[in-house]
Amino acid sequence: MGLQEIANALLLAGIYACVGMGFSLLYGVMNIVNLAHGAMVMVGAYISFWLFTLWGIDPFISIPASALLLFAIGYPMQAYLVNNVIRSDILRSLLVTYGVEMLLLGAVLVTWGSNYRAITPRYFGAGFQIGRVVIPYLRTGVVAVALAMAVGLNLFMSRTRIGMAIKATALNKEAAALVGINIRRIYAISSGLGCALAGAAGTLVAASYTISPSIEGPYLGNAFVIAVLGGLGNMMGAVAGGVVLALAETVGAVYFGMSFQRLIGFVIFLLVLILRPYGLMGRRFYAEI
Amino acid sequence: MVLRCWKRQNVVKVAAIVLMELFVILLWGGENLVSAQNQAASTIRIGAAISFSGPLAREGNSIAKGYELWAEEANEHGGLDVGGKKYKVQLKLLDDKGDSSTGVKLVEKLITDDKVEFVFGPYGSGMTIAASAVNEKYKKLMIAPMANAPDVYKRGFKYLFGLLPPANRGAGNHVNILRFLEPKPKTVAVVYPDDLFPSSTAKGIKEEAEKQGFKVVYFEKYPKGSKDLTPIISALQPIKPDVFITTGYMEDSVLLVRTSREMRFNVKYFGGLDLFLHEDFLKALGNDAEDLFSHAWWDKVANMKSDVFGSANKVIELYETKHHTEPNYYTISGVATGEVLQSALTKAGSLETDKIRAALLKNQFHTSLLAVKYDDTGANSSGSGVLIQIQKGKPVVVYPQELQQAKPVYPKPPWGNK
Repeated sequence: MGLQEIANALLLAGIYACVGMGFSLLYGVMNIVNLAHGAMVMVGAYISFWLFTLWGIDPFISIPASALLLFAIGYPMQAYLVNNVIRSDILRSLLVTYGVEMLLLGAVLVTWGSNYRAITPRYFGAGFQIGRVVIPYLRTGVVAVALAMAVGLNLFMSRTRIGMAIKATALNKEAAALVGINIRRIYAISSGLGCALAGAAGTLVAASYTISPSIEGPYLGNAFVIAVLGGLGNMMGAVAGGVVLALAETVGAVYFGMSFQRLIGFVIFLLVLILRPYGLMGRRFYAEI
Repeated sequence: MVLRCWKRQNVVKVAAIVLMELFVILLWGGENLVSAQNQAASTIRIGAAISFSGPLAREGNSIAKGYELWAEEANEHGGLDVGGKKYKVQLKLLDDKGDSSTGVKLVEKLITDDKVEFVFGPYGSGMTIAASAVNEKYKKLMIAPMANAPDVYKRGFKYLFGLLPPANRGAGNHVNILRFLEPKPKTVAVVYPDDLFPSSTAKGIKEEAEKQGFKVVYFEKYPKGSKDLTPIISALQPIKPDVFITTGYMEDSVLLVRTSREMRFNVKYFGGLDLFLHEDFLKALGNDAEDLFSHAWWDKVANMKSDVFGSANKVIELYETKHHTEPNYYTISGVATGEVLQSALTKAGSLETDKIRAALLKNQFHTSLLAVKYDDTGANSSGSGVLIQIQKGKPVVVYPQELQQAKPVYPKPPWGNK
């Protein structure tokens, strides 16, 4: 496998990491499997598409916009919908997030139709070359954003009060409540944050691929794998998960043919789970049901 | 008196349930009332399960618009003429969501529940193969606009009639044009998603290329819906084929072009199927679509003669008046589906399935899409397509010579660095 393939895999890992991060946060901290995650990535993608098409705003600059708008969707979703069912069994929260997914999908279909859209920024296709390896600017930007998001979130979770409150709630919500943390509000904020990450991932997806309402399914599946692979609740884990999945898929494609891309990815996923059940960088206290 | 004993919550609950029930009854009953009314007048009910949502939604919606245009025009002229009596067309279209099992269930419902007399096809060979098994079981005729994988017609079905000729006939044009290009290309690479229509078309292209003396140096499939095709382009870079053809769908074709551009993969000839001319494809790629070759079964330039409308241009005009935009070729195929049924009904002079079937097999039809002459398997054995190249952002017919609007740009200039 040549250097070009390795470079391609690492660059693909950038998108994967972003997609996995938001999902990992919700699942790891609150045990909410956000079935609407793929739909939120899709909505974030559309927001950036329209910002680019109507006002020429570069996708990388529109990341805060889609993140903020998705926060505004995620916070009330948690506060008014999921919080009310969070104490009963996990199926209810699955149903609620599934409902949100259908709502978002339907809304996008009705408003913007099923056309394929694409963003083509001016620097698209351009890249730099190291020896015989071509590295497009766009994908490098995606990786940079992914790393920035992971590092930024880590700092947020360990250095700010809200971040530490989120971690505390994930560890033991009764104890957190006892020390005066408003659990419902922290849940809502975490959800908003996770959805904002989904929105940011959506922007990057829109910049790299064509988008249509039908992309939301595959991204949900990917998010699941990447989040669990890397360790739930751990942002750097999502990056690691993204890298492993991307490399596994590329190896599968190169050595066994394109049809084996997903298969090898899932085989690696299963192996990691068998050998390290909490994921590559996961810790025990997250994802405890 | 009794009400005062009821707690307010209970009253609200009961009221809500009653209202919901009323609503449901109204919807269900209302529909039955309307269809009962129509059964009184002379109508022909035609049903179709087609993709309004899901991965095939773009094409499905376009075809549905074609069905609707045909039905509206037929009704505006008093209805279909069958044996001297006029019948209004009642169209019922349901969303198959791009899933063949949903499509199968819907066609079954349309035939057994909604009692349609004829079925129009869904979009796609895979969808049609599944759905046509249902109408075959109930001995109802289906006319399918877009089902031209050769396998569709190899099942010995009697009640399925397609519109587009089998795929390899058309895509083979990509090979046919090669001998007119200077310097003559020698090596061909073909990639395709792992799905019925693309793979059988790709195989057809490979056979045709080898038959005409070209060397197929790369022939690979990728999973349908793949989001990353860089391994393919990476593999192709050292091979340096002259000709690169893909039989992929919209998303993956766009991805192939964009990835080729990103990785500076240059070929002399880059060709694909008709979706290369779709406005979504062209909008998504912008300048990157320049010099791509596309096969097309239909082009405005040909202005096909139509038995029902007179000419393709008339259909385009009617559509533009209603929708203020040009119809695409999927919509024209939807209209042509109706045209075939209409002509067959007139020629048969009866609503009996066997008589209509005989009329379909015996006659030649001219539709706004293309000429139609069925062989025993229900496949269209006449009509051929054209090759179109995007030149300066506009589609231009470059082959066959009789219809050529401009000379092809060949070899394709290498990807620049913007």
